[in-house]
Amino acid sequence: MLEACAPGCDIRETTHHYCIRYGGRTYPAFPKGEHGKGRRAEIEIGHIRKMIRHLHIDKDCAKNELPEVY
Amino acid sequence: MSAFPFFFTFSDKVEGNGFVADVRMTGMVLGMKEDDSTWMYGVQPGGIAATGQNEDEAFSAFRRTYTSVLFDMAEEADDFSKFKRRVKAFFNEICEETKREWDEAVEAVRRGDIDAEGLEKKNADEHQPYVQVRAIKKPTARRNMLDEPRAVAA
Repeated sequence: MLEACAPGCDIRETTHHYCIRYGGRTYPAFPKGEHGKGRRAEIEIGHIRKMIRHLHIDKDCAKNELPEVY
Repeated sequence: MSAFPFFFTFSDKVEGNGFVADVRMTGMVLGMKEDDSTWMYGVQPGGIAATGQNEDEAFSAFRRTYTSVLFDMAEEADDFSKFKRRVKAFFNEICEETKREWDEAVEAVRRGDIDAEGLEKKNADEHQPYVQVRAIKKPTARRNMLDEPRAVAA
């Protein structure tokens, strides 16, 4: 999704999180962990939704790439 | 789905590369009940969120996530001034969309549409978010501070 909707974004792994920078804004608290199902997937979706909002990523693009988020 | 507008005030002592910093922040967070979980979405700072099975668990996870972000910043900063700049930049990034929902939730609390009984209330017009980042040169016990309980913005 980030490749398509946030081209040029910077994704850096820190000790506790992934720090994602795009368009001059930063989301420093994206959780680490394996992609999962059930509760884990719900958690990831909430963080993805918040990151999209905070970084001003195009929502239509995000919906197209990750329909399960909306 | 119901939304709660909260103020939080956290105090942390953070060790970094050659410095110890005292960080005190009052910020805004939007609590949202969604299906079988509760989320805490950062408003200011906006780049943070956490979830739990209920409000207390979600707020506790938010607190822990907040501190771990400070730890990451301390680890990556070469000195205190860089750490301070990063913390201030983190604080100053407001999530505007979540802020609009937070403002709507404040109005709902004022109308009595949201039951905030049992929680401390703070007037949203009189309390403003702030951050203070200080280098600790001479540690002294009188600067020890506790977090404040989260309060509903009203």
